[in-house]
Amino acid sequence: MSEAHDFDQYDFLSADSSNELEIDPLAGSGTYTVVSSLPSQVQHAAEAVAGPPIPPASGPFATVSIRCTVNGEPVEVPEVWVADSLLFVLRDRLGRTAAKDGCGEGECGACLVLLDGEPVLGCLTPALVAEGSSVTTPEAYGDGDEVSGALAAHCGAGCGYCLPGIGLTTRALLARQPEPSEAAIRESLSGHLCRCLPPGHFIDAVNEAAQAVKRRG
Amino acid sequence: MDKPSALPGFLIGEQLPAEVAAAAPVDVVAAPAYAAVDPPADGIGKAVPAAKAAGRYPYAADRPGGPGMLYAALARSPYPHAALLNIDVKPALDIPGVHAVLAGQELGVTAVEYRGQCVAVAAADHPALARAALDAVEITYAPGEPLLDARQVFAAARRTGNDSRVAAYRRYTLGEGGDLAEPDEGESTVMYGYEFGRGADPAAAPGAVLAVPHFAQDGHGGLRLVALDLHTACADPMRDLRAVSAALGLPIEAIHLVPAPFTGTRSGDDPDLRVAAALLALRTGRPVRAEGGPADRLAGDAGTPAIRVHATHRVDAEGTLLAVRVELVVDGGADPAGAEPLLDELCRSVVGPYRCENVDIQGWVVRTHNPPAGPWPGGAAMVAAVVAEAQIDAAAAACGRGPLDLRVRNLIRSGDHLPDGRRLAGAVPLPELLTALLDTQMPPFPPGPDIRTFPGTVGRTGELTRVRRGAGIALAMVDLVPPELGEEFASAQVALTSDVNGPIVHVATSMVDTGNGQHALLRKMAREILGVRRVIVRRPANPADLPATAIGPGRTTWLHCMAVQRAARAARSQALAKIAAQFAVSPQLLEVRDGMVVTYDGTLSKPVEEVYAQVLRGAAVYVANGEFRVHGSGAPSPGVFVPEPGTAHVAVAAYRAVVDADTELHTLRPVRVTAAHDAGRVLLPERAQAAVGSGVLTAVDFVFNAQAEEIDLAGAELGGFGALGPGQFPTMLEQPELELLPFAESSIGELDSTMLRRRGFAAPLPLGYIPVRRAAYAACAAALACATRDALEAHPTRMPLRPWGVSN
Repeated sequence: MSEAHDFDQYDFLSADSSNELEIDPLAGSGTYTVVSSLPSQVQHAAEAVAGPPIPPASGPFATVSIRCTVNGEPVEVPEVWVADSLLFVLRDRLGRTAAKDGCGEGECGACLVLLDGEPVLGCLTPALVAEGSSVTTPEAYGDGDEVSGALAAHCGAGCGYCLPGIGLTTRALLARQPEPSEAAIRESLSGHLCRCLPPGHFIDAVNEAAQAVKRRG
Repeated sequence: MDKPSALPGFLIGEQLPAEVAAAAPVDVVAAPAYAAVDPPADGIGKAVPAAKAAGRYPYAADRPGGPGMLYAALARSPYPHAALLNIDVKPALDIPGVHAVLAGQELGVTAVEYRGQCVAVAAADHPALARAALDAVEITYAPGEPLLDARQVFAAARRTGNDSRVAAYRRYTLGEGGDLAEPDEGESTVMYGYEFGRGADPAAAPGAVLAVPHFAQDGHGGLRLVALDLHTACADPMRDLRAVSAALGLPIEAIHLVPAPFTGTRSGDDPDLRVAAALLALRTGRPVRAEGGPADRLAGDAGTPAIRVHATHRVDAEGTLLAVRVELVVDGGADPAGAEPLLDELCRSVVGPYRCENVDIQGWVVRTHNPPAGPWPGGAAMVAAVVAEAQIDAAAAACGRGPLDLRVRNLIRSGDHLPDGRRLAGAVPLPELLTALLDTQMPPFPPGPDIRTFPGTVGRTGELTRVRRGAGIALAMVDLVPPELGEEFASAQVALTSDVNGPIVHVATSMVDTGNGQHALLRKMAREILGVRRVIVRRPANPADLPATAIGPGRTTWLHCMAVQRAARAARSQALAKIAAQFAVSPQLLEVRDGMVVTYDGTLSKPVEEVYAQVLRGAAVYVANGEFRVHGSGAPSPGVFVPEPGTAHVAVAAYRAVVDADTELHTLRPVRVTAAHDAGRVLLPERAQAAVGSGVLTAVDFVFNAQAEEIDLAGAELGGFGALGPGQFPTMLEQPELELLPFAESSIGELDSTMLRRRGFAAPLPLGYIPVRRAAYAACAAALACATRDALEAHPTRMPLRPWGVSN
């Protein structure tokens, strides 16, 4: 590297600099929120009007539009690639990043979301199955409920990447079994890999959440 | 509140040393978004854990790249050894939506040196497009014959005398060396060869890097690069910054490393991801996000290299260790330099925490076509512990004594010599830990009627009568200051002042908070010394705030705690000068205890609120800088703390593991792990407990995990069942119950010169997360191996365990 550094060599930015993020909040009662179009969030307005030339509307890059409900809010996501995972659509198209992208192969459970109330692994679930369904991400609960509070109190010393998914599983467990046994908790959470904290912390957290839910009635 | 520019706002010029005023931090990098969720709080904090649980904690993968963000993908070589004959990226660039493809020379790659080496990267509007682009890149390889088995490479080098593939050699001898000539009457010799596969981290989160270039008008109608923001998890910002700077050919000032929270147990993001994201961002002029996938995890992760150890131990009839001879070969992969620290540590520690006067240890690193052995912390300590404990068990069996008997008889003590000749200094509370361990109960056997408590969980146990239970005890010792260590230092600035709500302390540190409570630790340290509840710790905001030298894993915490401690004490002395005059003592001899300012002997005291109300009147500010330097040996610059020449300081742990072996179904189940640790001082119990828990989980993964085999020597057969039985990574169902005994708190205070101790201020410091985790990992893996040995009455010599597998 020469000492006189010339940053001009990195002058690659062309007309693209005028690109704007095309988030279009048409949110209103009963309408769908249309989120930026694929493949890029930076398509020129002219292109968008003329219809996106890319990707080709057939073959592996065929796209469809999806309507579903996310955390109670109706949304429409145009131009979803048929091979897109639900997790990608939630995180990258809708900006709901609470469900985490972990192993990408269904092993770690960080990407867990609820599809019509049932836990599914976002990374293995095609986005298309969400059509007409109701999707619940960890954002739906925020940190206001007992489960979040208990997880924060007992498991905050870990990296936290697995916690949102574990929170959803815990809520599903407590809905089924208000006072789960330790074995049931282990069984239920065994789909989540945590390498920061031993199981004891999670068992304590679920027990505390169960107690808190019970007290609330 | 935790703004990078908080300090200059309230500083009073005359009380600020000129050089500090000149170096007032400049807000170059916008404060990371998570500043908003990091207020002062008790323990590890409340806001950060709440944000984690709610999914709001912004890991690198969650940070918005902004308009036009592209997705990067990495292509990895399917061959371990190949020449790159031809690369054609044109077909890839023709795909609409693909913005850049860099391959071969552009990445500095001229030949493939290991399987999984990154040979091409692409940036596109969509991750699938980026992968499609890489599929379209035409690469012609000329595969060569790979060298994948370190043992064969080493044997060939010995046979032919051509040592071009032997990258490093170490030898340590004590006494007459490992003289193993004909044993005398009553002496026994045990000799075993041990093999270690590469460690696999389940890596629930394979990491992500976001690179955001910033441009400005250059005045000629064009644009020039102003800076590149690099969002990445990193343990050592300065080292990582230098590595990226070298790879990009950009000056270090042009790269702003924005530390992102850690994910999983990784020691930082994959360097391949960082370089790919940064290069593509520069090439395209757009933000680029690179996320690791399963392929990146296997190829790009730093794991322990495959290691082979041949150990011979001789004991007398009483069980006293007479001589130890060890030869070991480390597979350094394609970049063996990275394995040298591991070789050093392994050679120094392979005898374990046992006293032996005749030692001969030789070790080699060989270069192969396996992925480079990274500086993964913990590998050497774990290998050393497994070998040492297995040999002690074998020696005990050979001389007809109990394994515990041999351990107690040969236990190393402060003042004994290590194989490299250094004398062990400071507290080594192994006897205390062992005693505490032996006072605990064993889990009941046979288990109760609940089949869920059976070995291997439901459906994985045949006849209970075919289940054998084993218990094993293991000790581990982790070297804290290696002798070849270059100078490392940490610095801190502490400002004591007041606002409308009373006294407040601002701490500026060079320590990065990666989301696991590092700053909470410093907060607690400052709070304790100054007796002020409100402490705000500012994270390093720009490269100038980062430590100028890299700090090795395992020393970050206590170096920074020591720096903050010194700065806070200096600030306290300034602030208490008037009170000291009233008490007629030196300000250095005052301390704050239980809300009172007291003299060192406790004879005079005054409530701290009263004192601060007086000395902090009129927005007075007391600022002090503190730094702490450590140097392994040699001739350090003045003022540097060096451990007394020829001494070693260690962290220790004692573990007992209980393992059930189902001899019918051929499964193993770790039942309970009992842990006793010395953690230096425990300032944040939850953090120390997490370090232990994480070490134990990683040990279970390593010892029992089938998938570790997958990234064993490239080309080896994949898959197969692990010792736990058919399954994937150990889950909450397979993980053992962890019984953590109260921490012993000693040892590291010894590192802070005798002067402070003389004054009665010798509070030991926290060892930090990594040393505790490494000790836990080492001791737990060794204890699990010992327990398996006990259960099977066999001597498995391979890790990960394949007790019923092909090669034992």
